[in-house]
Amino acid sequence: MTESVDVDVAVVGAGLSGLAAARHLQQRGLSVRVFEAMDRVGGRVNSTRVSEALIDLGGTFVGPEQDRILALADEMGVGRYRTHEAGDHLLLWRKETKRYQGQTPPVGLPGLLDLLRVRASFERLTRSIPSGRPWDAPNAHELDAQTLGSWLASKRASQATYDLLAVVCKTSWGCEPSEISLLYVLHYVSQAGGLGPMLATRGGAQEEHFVEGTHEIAVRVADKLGDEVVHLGSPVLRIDWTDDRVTLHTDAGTTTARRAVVAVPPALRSRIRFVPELPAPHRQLAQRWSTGVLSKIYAVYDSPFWREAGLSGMSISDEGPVFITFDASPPDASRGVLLGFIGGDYAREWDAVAPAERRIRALSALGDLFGERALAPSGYIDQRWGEEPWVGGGPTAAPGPGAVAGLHARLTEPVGPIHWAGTETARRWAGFLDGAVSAGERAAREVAVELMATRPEARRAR
Amino acid sequence: MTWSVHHSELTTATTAQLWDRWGDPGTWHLDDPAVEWAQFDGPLAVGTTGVVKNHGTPAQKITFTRVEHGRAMDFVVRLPFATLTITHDMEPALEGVRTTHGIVLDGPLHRLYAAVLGRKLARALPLVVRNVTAGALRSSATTGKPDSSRRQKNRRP
Repeated sequence: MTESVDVDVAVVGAGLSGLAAARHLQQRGLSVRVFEAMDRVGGRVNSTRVSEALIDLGGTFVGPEQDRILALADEMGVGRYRTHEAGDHLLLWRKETKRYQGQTPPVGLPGLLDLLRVRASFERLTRSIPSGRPWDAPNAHELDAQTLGSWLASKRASQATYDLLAVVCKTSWGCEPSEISLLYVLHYVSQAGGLGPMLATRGGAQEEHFVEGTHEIAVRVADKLGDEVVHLGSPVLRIDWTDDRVTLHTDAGTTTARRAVVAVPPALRSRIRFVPELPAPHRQLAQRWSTGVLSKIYAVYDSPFWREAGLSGMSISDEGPVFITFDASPPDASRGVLLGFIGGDYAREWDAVAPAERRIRALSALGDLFGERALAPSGYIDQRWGEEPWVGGGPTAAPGPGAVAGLHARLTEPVGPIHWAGTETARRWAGFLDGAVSAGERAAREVAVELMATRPEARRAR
Repeated sequence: MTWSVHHSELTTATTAQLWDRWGDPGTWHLDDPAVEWAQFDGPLAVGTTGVVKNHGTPAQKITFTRVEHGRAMDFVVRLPFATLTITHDMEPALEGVRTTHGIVLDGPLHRLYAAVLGRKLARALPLVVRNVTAGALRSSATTGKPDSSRRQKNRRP
């Protein structure tokens, strides 16, 4: 006979993944309580207003086939609009600025041929990686022993090819090519449908924005869950667990539950003391799956002036600190908004300087791309995800070599009554908004199946 | 007969802070990963000579050809049938200072040197500029004033 508990399920983390899990469980008649360390919901999504423009400080884009986040947004009544991409993109490369259209930046014929050669080789490898099971790939350990950077060197990639893929690496995983497991990168690209869908705007993962902002989805889900369900400012410090029961400890006291869903980035699992300790591979996962470092800057203007010059607002630069930009203006273009990404080594340095220096460096980079008008925005904001203590970086985990083949399976493997969510644990679109939602729903299904099998005990929850 | 490339960035570091950083050969190896060590043979002035040793290459003699305190500093490296000029400029702009670092190749073989040397140096310019501005801001934060005491220190091992 099992003792009674406070709730059926305790969820740790009120990001999209934890909230999606809680919603799914609640819809199945299970009682749930969500603990969030920060004083807001959303985790790696957050929104604010700058000079009357709505700004997504975290996860921003959605695209086709990301059906779980799209369905959740639809259910919450949060609208979408297409990312602006009409006009020429800019490439600031080797001190020259060139206009281009399409997905392939004009790096010269030799550069282009080399890029196509390396990309073809890379895409071939991605097709050998089973989605959700990278450890089952042929030569998984061999691939995991390499970094993206060492693989590029082994392919004799040109400096231009290396630098272009470094831009992808900085913005996709918040790290340098020399830091991240090749197996992880191959699997990430594979489960996102390939480099094309992952990087494209039209028809790809950057196709749309949310009209009310991504954060609004999390806010509305939390509202529907109820104030008494979501506990903000309540970091879970310790989880005691047995086979069929967990006790969560926060500063406010303890909560008992039959199951726990821990929906935090893998590295932050180590911020919780588990009693008894997690098995060694799970502990190693938390230690070795550190999060990348990605920061975002937004400059708001009275109008999207670059459109007058026939520019899309999308750009790539090899100089930094801003390596990629997008036009993030509102759908009615009542304001002009440029979004820039800063990742990897430069983000680590940029994050550490004073706010005024960060601002002037970011605007300097935008000025190099879009001219003098870019230097005088009506509003500016930056978001340093690496400085967020309860997030630890962004946009997703960036495990180094040797940390994937033997540990990836531990991402979702339950430990007793403890189940795992968070975008990194998704089988599809891991690292994206969609992965966060689908992972939460998957963890909720696991828990629901277990609890339904022992329904009489579940009904005894207070 | 000239090939050149420049890189500019805006920073909140003052011209005095930047001048002190650019003018201290003891920090060049910190700001430019290619540099092993550098030294000046006297006070920073037009005509002053010095030596820059890059990793994997022989030490090169440098000669300052333009020194405008707090504004600009250029030095040249004589190459066979070409001259390499390294420029450093600082000017107030927007809410800070625009600092510019450049490479100029002159002479009959400037195209050859641009192909074998210039483009590699050019790729490093953004990194050097950001290291210099970061160093300038750091030294100010540490000491509260420009650190000119190290300017002539000989860093040769």
